[in-house]
Amino acid sequence: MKRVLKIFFLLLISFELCVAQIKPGARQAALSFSDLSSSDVFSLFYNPSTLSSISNSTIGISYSPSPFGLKELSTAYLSFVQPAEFGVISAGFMIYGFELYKETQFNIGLSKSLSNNFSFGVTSILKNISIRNYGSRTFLLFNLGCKAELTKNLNFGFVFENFTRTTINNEDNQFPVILSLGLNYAPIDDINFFTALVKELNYNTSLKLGTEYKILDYLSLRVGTTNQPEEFSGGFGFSYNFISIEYAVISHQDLGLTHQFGLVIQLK
Amino acid sequence: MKIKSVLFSMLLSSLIFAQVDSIEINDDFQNILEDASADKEDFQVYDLIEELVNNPIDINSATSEQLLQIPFLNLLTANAIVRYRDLHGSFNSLNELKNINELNDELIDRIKPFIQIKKTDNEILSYKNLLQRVKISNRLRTIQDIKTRKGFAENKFAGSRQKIYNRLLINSQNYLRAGFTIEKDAGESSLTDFFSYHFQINNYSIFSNITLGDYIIEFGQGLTLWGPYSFSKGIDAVNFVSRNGRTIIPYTSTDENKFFRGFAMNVNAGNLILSPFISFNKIDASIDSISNNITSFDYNGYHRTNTEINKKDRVRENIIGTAVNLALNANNKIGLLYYHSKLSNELKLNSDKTNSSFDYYSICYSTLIKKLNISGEMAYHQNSIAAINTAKLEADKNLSVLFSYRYYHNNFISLYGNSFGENSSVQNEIGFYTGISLKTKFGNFNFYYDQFQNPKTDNTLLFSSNGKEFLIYYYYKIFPKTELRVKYKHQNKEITNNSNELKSLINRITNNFRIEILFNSSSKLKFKSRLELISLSQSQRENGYLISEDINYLPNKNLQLYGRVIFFRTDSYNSRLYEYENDLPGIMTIPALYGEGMRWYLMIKYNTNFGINFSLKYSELYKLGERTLGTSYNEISSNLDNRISLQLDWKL
Repeated sequence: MKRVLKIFFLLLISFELCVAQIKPGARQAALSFSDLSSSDVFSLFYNPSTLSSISNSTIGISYSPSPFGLKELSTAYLSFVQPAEFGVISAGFMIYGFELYKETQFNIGLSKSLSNNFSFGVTSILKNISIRNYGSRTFLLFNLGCKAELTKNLNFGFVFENFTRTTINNEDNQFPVILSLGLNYAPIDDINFFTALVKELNYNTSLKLGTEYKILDYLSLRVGTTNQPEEFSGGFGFSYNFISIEYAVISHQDLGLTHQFGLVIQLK
Repeated sequence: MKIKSVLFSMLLSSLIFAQVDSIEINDDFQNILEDASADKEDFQVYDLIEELVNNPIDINSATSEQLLQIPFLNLLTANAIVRYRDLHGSFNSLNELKNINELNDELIDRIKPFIQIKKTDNEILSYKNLLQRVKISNRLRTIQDIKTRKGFAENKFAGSRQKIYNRLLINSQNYLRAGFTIEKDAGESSLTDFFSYHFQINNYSIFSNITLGDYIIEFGQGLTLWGPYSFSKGIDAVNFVSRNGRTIIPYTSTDENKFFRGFAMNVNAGNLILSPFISFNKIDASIDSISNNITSFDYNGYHRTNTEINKKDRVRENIIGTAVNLALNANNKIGLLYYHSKLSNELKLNSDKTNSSFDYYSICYSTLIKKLNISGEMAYHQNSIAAINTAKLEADKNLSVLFSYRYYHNNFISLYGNSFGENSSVQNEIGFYTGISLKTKFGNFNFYYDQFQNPKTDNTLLFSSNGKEFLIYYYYKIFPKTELRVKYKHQNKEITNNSNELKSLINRITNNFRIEILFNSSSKLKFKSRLELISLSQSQRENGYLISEDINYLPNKNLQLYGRVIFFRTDSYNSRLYEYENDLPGIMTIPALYGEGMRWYLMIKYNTNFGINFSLKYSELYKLGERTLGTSYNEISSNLDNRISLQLDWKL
């Protein structure tokens, strides 16, 4: 418990408010979250605009049993994407925390292609935070994302998270306000290079790099690195027919390892 | 010693113009100064490259294993060469390499010095033939400081002021090779203070080589066995992280301790190469007079004062071991190594632990899956492990990305290891390195980002520490005769502050920026201008800069003139700047410049038509407002440090 509190405290001071740190999707985690422009069932939590190209309804589960070696920080996500006539709709759910601090989140997103090389998406997030002996509150946040296909093998993505600058009480910036810009370069079909610049209000800019190589028809290998926080990551995805199983590990320079597992199923 | 890869890559690019049996330095050489990790003069990495250039590999007969001995080539590119040869028949000219998709022009230029196309002569190997085809080359060099150093003035040094070096190499068609090297440093009394020799028979029956005398062994990624010199982080972000050990190499350098002396051979058995080796060498060390334990090894090789002479050859080391390299197929290779080292005295490891017997087990591998080359080594010693694994993805010939993870345990003590990393030893380090190399129409970009950690603490290392470093290098031919090179390097590293009683961990942030313009006026005349800036902040902020101008003039094919003048100013030794200097063939000089002052040199090379080449260099370091230069016995009581060097190369 002592270690839990220690790391929890560390997270608190380093992120002002201990909102869930573990983002969904073993694929994204393995790439150090550098991908802002390819579509993925968990894009709802990153860049919703990329979902506009999805043609099958898809469901994804992501689970991180013990981030930084602490099972108290375990985080689970569920995501669902459904193409519709007016665009692609998506819904997501997240649960995080332990008996003292709990967080649940419900996301709804809409993605739409505006032209054959530009699409846009928006997510609304209903977030509930409950702290034992202090009660619970619910907040509404919004994210906005765009994706542009610059050339056949170069894509650009842009995300503005929490653009209403929603905060918990009178103090500013208790939910992060983040601007992210990312490029995806695919020199050939099997290889993707990702790079992203992420600026959170009140923090230094973070550079993220990721590489994905589809080495076999059913196996993808991924590596990534970022400088803020100092992390590197790796993982693989194993896909067969309509099912894919994903795994990622992130190594944080001070806090240690985080493992993440994912299951993605295409429904039709 | 780790030499940043920039050094190597520039050295190699200069060798494009090299003759098979003499390496001529050209202007590109001078680009290499800045990343050099140590201000040691006399970089013997030159010998390593010279040895490769003097024995070029025939690309029409070489196997992929043999091609891998060439720096810059990896499984992907080596296999591509072999595959092209199998499909299209033998190469008629080196230009045919351009038809291979996996090789870009820069890579082809870089490997050219190491390869050749042998005319097919089915000569039968006979002793008569061997004797007729003997090539002998000898290099004699003397270097002298003009000002008297304190050690001489106070009669502390036993010997004369000249540094003298002589190396003789005999080579007969690469079947027989032999040679010896003698060296005496300034202040040493015996002309043969360092004496090294080797004798090697190649390609005899099942033995691809049999080596007697001095040699080094390179295995895997260098966790357990490597030569005294290796390449590390630098402007070439993707080529030197992963390595191909070349197993047994005759020793021709002058590091006086880090080599093996004895017997080694390679036995070929199909896809398997067995390399047993045995060594009986003596090493310089400081010995505690009471416990008789080794307190430290002294690798600097100086034997000038009584103290230094007493340390000479104090420890006997007996080594026995075997390496096995197995090629499972063209794309998969593994290697195993075991060696045992027994020291004549106990080595003090920490306050309560000593050891005189060391066992190492190691396994290395390299595998190619489509465009992905994964290689690595894992070594085991005394219940602790060191490992490095590298994945390099070559998307196409203009873009490659590399990731490397290293983990060196704190208890891993590697006597002859020399592997990739931030620290000089294969110990107490965890790191993750990302490298990218991209060639575009608008120039070439290299980038790396390295995160590293020294996780454990002990008596000498009080704090665990973190660090990170990135480098961006851009080079581009802006005009047909003009090349621009820009480098920016940023390092943020936690270091122990020893400046007061209470030791603490502080952040040291170093920013280094360099811009360089090369202008090739004609094939005879070349100019290079450079500006380099450094800013460093630890307990306080420091700055420094360096401006230099370089001229190379080659009036005719026999005469070459090189000159440079450098002005520099830095706030202290902490913000020192390095500069690589043109020097006599066989030497690489990389002095550290700090304080306010200037340095200049002039070098003349004259090649006669009958096999004798002369080289002469005069250099001066002048510092404003100083009374002395250098420290301890090397101190001179003047603000001018000048030196003259002379060399004679002859070939038969």
